[in-house]
Amino acid sequence: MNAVLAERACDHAWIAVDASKRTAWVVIDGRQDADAIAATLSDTGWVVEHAVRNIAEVDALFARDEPIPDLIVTGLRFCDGDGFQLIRKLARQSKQPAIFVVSHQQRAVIKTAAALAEACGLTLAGIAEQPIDAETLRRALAELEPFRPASGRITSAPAPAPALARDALTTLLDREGLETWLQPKLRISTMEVVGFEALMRARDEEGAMIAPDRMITALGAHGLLDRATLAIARQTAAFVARCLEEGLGVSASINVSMQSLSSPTFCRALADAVESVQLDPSWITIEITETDAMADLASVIENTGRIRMLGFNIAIDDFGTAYSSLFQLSRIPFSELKIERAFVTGVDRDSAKQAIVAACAKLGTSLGLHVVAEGVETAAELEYVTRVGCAQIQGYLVARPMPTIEALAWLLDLEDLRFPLT
Amino acid sequence: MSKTSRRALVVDDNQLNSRLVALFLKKLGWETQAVDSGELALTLLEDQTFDLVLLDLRMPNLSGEEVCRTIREGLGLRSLPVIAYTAHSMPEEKARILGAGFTGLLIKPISFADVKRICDDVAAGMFESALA
Repeated sequence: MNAVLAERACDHAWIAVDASKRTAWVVIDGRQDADAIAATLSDTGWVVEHAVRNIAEVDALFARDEPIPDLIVTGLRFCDGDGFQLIRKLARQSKQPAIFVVSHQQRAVIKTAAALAEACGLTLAGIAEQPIDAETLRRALAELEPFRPASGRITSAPAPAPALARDALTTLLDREGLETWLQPKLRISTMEVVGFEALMRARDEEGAMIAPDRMITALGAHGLLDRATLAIARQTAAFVARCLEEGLGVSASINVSMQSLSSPTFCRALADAVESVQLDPSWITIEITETDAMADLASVIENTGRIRMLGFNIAIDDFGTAYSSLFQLSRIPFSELKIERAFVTGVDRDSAKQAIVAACAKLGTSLGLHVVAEGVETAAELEYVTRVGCAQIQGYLVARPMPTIEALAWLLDLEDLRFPLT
Repeated sequence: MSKTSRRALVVDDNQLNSRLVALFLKKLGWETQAVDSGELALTLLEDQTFDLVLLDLRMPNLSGEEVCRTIREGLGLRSLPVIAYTAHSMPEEKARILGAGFTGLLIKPISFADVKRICDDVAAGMFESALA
């Protein structure tokens, strides 16, 4: 039996478009393969507008301003170049198609091409290893929904609204328009909800949500992030104190930048925020990203040491996305390590992700840290992260982020804070 | 509350903490006395009997470790389960805390299951055999 790999890319949200107009191009070097794939596409409801054999022919199509299709099924080797070049070219077009990679190359090469496509912001529809029989390909293609990418990364989608200007941000802060949304964390061994991550959200004056990416970077750029973080800290501390009064023992974590932490004034204000509601700061964890944690060692030690001395816990967030110095990691007084969601999504089906998650979990537990798997959405992911020693999970499998008032009601509905997953 | 209820002494200068622990203990059928300093705890222990002491390590004046040493040596209560209630700590710190005479550790932030586990262990006499 051929080692056939035919995967549907699951990491994207798809939204349906008019199924009768699904258009595709085939860019495959071998005529036989190209014809077979074009035929299979047609059989599964795609309109194959062009089948070409090399990069020059694709360039010619672009030069003629041919409408970019919804999907391009591509190989990786051409007489005049490779699929990596093609992916780069597609990423530069005004509209990007989704791509489906079919190739005779080794699986590692096909996966690299898939990773490049995603890194360039292209939507990956799937990958298939040749030789692939018509039936397997038919199944893989038939499973594709009529789609166009739903994410805002694709330029053909409506352009994301621009970041808020300084005045708008100041107004937002002045009218206390920031909202804390909370996503629960579950301790796997007891199935108890033990805490929440606080996320910064906001509404405009009409009450519509403002996308966080229009806001958070801009707050930093205009020197307003300390103020915004403190607003979230105060709301979060009040929420936790309220929970404790109700007999609900839950902690919360707040995302704080290293720049904020480097200010003793900010740290003092953070301590004041918890003291003002008589909260023991050990109920609050300060999350710093791995990138921030790996900045200049002396500054990071000073800043994290200070926050730890004030009684807060410290988590390293998005672990696995930067380049940790293990020495540096061991010098910083962390209490928690959060594994980046990108490694957790689909971990049960991807051996590379398994190796990364297992190594992160082992490293964290060996350093005496609570290891949290972020982005857990399925029972299979839960099973894997549990097996490799993660102590807690966060993700849609438990709940999506919710406003504080909903979070309290959600907690009160649980019995002894237990959230049975199985 | 039945006369056979077990009694816990909770020593924490943070009221939200001690109230939460008291609520947990009540749910488990325990009676709780809460005080906010080590000095008060020692005074109470001189003339009252408790089945368990939960002691916050981070208190002003008398530290948790000093209180524990006095419980063991000054008051001679060598088999009384005294649990250190503390923030996350490194493995070597844990060893030091246990070396100061504590029976066990409860790491903040705590959960109901954590407190239940300690209570179950006390009820099962696990600490007595460990200290004997």
